[in-house]
Amino acid sequence: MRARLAGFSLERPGTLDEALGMLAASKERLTLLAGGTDLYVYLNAGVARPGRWLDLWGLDELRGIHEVGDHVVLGALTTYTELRASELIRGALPLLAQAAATVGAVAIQNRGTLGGNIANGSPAGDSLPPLLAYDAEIGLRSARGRRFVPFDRFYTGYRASVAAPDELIEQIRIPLGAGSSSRACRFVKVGTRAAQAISKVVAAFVLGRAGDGTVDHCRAAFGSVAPTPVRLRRLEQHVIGKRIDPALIRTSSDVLLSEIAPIDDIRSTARYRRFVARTAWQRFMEEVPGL
Amino acid sequence: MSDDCAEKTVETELEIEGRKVKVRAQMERQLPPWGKTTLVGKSLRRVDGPDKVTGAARYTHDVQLPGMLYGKVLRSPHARARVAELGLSAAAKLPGVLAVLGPGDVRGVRLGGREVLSAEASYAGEEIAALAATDEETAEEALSLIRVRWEPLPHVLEPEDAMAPGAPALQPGGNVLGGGFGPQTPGKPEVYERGDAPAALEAAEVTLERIYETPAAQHACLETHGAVAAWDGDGLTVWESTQGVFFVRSALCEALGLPASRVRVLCPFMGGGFGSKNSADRYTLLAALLARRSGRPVRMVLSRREDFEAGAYRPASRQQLAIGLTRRGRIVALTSRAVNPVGSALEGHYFGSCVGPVQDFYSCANVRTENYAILTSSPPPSAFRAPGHVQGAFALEQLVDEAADELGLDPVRLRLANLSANDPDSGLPYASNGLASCLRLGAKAIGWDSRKPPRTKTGRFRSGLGVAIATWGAGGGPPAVAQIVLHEDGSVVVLTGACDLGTGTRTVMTQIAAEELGVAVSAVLVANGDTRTTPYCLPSFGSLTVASTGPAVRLAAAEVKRQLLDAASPILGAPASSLLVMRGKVRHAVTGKSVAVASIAASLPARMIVGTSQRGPNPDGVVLASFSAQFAQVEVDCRFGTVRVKRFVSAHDCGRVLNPATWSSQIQGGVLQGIGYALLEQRTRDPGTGRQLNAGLLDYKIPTVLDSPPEIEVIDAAPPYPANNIGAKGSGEPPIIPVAAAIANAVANATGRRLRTAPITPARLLAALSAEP
Repeated sequence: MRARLAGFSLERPGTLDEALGMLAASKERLTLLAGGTDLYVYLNAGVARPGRWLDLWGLDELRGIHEVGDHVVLGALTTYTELRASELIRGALPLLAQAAATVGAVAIQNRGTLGGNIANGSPAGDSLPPLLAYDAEIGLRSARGRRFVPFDRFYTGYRASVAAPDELIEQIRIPLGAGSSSRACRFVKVGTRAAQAISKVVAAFVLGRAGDGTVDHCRAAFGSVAPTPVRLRRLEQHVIGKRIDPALIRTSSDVLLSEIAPIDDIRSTARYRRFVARTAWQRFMEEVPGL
Repeated sequence: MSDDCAEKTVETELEIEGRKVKVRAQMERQLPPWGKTTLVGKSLRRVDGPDKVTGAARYTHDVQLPGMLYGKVLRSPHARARVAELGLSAAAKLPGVLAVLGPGDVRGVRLGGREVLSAEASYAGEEIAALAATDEETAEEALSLIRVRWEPLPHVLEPEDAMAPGAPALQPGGNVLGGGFGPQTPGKPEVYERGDAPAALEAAEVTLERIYETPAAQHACLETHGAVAAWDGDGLTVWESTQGVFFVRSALCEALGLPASRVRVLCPFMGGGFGSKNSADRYTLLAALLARRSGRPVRMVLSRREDFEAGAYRPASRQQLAIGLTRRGRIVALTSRAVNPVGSALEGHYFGSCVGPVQDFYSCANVRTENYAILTSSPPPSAFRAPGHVQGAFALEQLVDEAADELGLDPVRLRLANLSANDPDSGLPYASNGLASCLRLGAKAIGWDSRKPPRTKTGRFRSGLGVAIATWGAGGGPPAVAQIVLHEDGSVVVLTGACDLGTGTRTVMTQIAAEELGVAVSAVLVANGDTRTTPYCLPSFGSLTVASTGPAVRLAAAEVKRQLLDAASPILGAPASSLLVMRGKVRHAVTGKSVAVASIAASLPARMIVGTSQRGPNPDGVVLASFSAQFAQVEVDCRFGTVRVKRFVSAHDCGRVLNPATWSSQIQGGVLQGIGYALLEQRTRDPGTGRQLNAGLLDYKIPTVLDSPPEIEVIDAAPPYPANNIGAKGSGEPPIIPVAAAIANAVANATGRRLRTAPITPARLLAALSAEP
């Protein structure tokens, strides 16, 4: 451990209400600890923010995957292992299960949570593009009440979100039809190696077509190409109402390139990321079933 | 020594990490080769497997002593800078801090010609001050309280800049040195010449000249470097994660002025070295000094980041090679001009050289190599699994393929036609040489006949086959002493100084001793890696452990057996020559009358039998080398620029295989490490500060099992090897030598594009395919 632990305190609420009470009463911003797969890394690297930490791991109210009405509701503490194992997720929201399978190693998947991935807000978070592609909403909870924020309006900048200091992520809500099997979908992760690699580019695509073959639904979400995970709305609009053909693949690729802003960093270059993002999209479009 | 051939010594030669060394050796008793064996050659399970998987095995990282302190080092954040002012008092006053050392406190304590704490940093990561505290967090906090006023000095990271006119001189003699283990030839390159290569190149029917580049690659041992030091009066005990306890001891004795009798170094278990743990390092000395200052044991274990930043890496290379051939494919000339940036290399340590393959892979009368080791403002490199040959093979083995393409010849045939019956350098015959068999058997296994030229391949996924070879001096030799004790109950202890790097040394020595003695594996315990209780040997480096210590263990076992049969002779009423040992009993060969080994030992006046033997000389007039040919089948994804190794065949001649399971594991590990070198691994740094940007396993990517081909097929292509009494040569380093070249050749066969810079990253491959936007 590089961090001196004397600067840290850890509190362990027994119930969600107790946790919300602590958040409401605290003057300083509390650090929320779920599976620890990000925070412990920061701690070990000596860059964790000292102060009061709230350990949410014991709050069973934040667990579980349920079908509620026409939504799938996931507790914020749902782990990647649970996502991989859930029949409901594998059947209705397969991109989420696929993304979960690419996160770290099994030990990380046992501890890492969907809520933690969202709260950490890394632009490279692997579960985030599928959530964007599935029109997820984030259920924020505080002592003041509950509110839902569409996930594509959740982040306000690099690792910054609309969540208030007294709010925590309680659940993630996804429309049941978002991953309808009548739609083509794909999850793409490109890392430095085949496993246990942070993404150079990560993407999730969902595409539906009307009876006449024109595109009537499109979601294209990317990670690691901008300061936050992004939905490429111009790209989506560009293909809606059109038939998929080589010309559309070409023109939509140009739109894609105009809509992302990747950077050079230790894992890759902006140039390679642009190339790979475009290629991932082109491959998906070329391989949409029934073309 | 109780050997029959005691006293008479001769000079003999052994090759360590590509350099030939002369030593004195005592003649050894000649043992006939084993006939039918019951244990040797069998895949005995690792004798220490249960200890390792249950956590009972105690590694250096696991050592906990009463009152032990945690040592930490302050390292330079600058690539080159002078310490103008060093304020240690705030750190020293922090409660829990029991010792603080700056350069002034340890003046004169040197390692590899340099002070262990430096007031002038030669690289980012160099040790400036050290302290010890009651816990790791306090030590970290104390480090943050040290005040340093730095005077930055001009630095150079790249060899071209260090060689340029007007470059800052990093040492008084200038930045250019000869390579190898050095420095060899200050101010000049190291030159090797046989025949007249320039003239032969000029006259050759076909010539090719190419430039190849390889990256600085790091060992990434699972157990980071570290030591625990404890004083007892004038005596020092050090647990060190090392390949060689005796080299650590001599470094400590020399630096601290202690007699060998007062320094005990232990390493019963260790988690990987790959050449980076051949001797003591600065942290070893700092642990000992902090322990002396504080009067408490001190644990100095490097963090993963420090393990990357403190040095030890395979130096990068830039190699300009030329080859001359006849139209029919006979190699007539080879030249190499190689530049190796070697950072702040330590005297007597590895300096970087990559011209060996050009000198010794092929039969070629005209060879000239020029090797430059260039000082830069970088950490010191170290030996790394086949130092130099890995870089050199990446260049030469691609150039040979490029020549084959140019001539329209098959790469396997071109190689077979140019193999040398004798060592190309000395002209002496090899003691055994299975390289042609490696090529033939490997080609058959990979399906080489189905290889197609790149022009026949289209589409997004393209498959290719590639080959490359290796020759590596791996015959081992003296000094290596083994002692075997047969106790009164018939149990046996084998004492050897050899460290087991995880390769299975302890298991293989158990097999050798049990085989020769005729006792059960369960009766034998190997105790190793302790300078106080186990006898001398070289570190486990240079692929020499089995071929050096193995013969000594067999000799010691034979000596114990001789004494055992002598003792059994009166009991069984038969001459010793008519007796043999089988399954824990001494038995008459004809009558079958027998007596248990245990009851013989218990009947002896001494209640024990001790046999001590040493490895004899290598035979004169022959060259000892291991050989390998490797074949890669890759699939290139032309749209993402990624390379998947789909199949890999690794054929070897390293003499007799003593344990097929541990042997295959070692080869597969070498291949996987080679795949990392070929496709993934490279140190990246901030040019402004010289600090490493990927100092850690999060960003420095070594391959996972998913990056491995589903199977790495290992083939034993060894002819009998007569040069030692166990018939085995070394196999530690050859498996990594050809890997990157075999993969690059397969990529070229898949795509028609030549990737002359490692690692072959998607960005480089896409650029080569001209597919970038």
